Amino acid sequence: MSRPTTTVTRNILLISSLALCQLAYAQSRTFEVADGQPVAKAVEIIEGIYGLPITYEDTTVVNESQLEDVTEQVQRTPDPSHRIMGIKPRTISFTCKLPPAAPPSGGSSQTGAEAEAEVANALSSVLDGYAASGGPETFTVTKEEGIFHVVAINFLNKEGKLQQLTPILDTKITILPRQRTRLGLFQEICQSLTKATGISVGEMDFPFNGGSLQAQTKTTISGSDVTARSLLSMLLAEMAAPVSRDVVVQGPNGQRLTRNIADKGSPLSWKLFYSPGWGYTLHIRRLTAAGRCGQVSASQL
Amino acid sequence: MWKQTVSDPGGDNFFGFAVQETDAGGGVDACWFPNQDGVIPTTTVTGGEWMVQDGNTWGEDYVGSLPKTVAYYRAQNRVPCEITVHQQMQMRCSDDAWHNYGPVNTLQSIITATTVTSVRAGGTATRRY
Repeated sequence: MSRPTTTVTRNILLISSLALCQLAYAQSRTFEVADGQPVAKAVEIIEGIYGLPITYEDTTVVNESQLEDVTEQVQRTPDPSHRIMGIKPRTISFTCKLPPAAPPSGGSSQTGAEAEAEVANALSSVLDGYAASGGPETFTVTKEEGIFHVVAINFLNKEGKLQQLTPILDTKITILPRQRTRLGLFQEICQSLTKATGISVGEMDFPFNGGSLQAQTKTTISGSDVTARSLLSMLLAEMAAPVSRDVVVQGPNGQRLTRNIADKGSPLSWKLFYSPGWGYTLHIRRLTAAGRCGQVSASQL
Repeated sequence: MWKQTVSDPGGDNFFGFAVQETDAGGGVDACWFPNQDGVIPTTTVTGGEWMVQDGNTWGEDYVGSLPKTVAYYRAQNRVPCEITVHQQMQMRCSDDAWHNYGPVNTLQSIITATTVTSVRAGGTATRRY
């Protein structure tokens, strides 16, 4: 819940990142992000620039010095008895080496390894920027099977002391072996996490219409006493994988023809956000093909 | 959730055809506000693909807000409010390309303190939730 000035800054940055996707600069650029969760915002910008999935897991914010009353900015129907707390914005800067333009013949002029190295450097710069801004929490960056994970590992407790945080997605849960839809699995992971931790983990974004083939396809992903993160990774890998299937099309003379079509799949990532007094929300989002800078919505429309 | 029927003047059988939704632009999310909770505005359709079933029906098309989203906007005293997006349906044809069919559909999710409403192409369904 940011102040209007913060929102303006954020919008400028978003426009900036969209432009970068189209123009593909080939130099370093320094970004400035002002947000209550500036690391998350920076991660989204880097993800948009490189088109590589980067997941993000928030810290917990309980210390009053990090919170502000945003009731008047948020409430449409004023209710003085119901105060809404937001996280105070923090400004960080980071440097990102922008990918070179694709050659005229198409394809990428940058190898996957080069891009991953640049993403790792950019994420390192983000965390340095966060620390330099006085941000108290620590984040780790890991890479597993081509996906970067940015995870908070501590938080500022009510007494103002740094306290170790067990990342919510490190929680071990059990998903029984049976067929369920991909959307159903996503919901079950959130429900299992809520039950196991006693902290609300709500499913907020799913990257496809809930009734579509992509959401309703059955999955056999399961696991006993495994981390929620590993289950989510399997789900993302399955949903992002190329698929081929037979569809019927109408031929030139009106006849029915069966044709095999191949869908190359679209990269996905998740974001786990914390909201004071609300708990965590889990978002699976698609990196859009058009510059992969877009975001999908919180609703199924 | 909505279930649709696709038809043409010739009464053709479209069983097995692939259809998808695309965004037709002009979406407005009047529930959303700048926040740091990771909640982003809904201004486009989510996207997805369906296969036409027996009887030329396809669906379900999920139109509305997820339970957590409804709860979020209620908790922030943002209701009543509505989200409007525009959907263009497409069908995969023999040239392997997607082609528009039918008019642009207006989809809405309306949230009040006690109800949720789903609107699709002139059809409306309201439930206490």
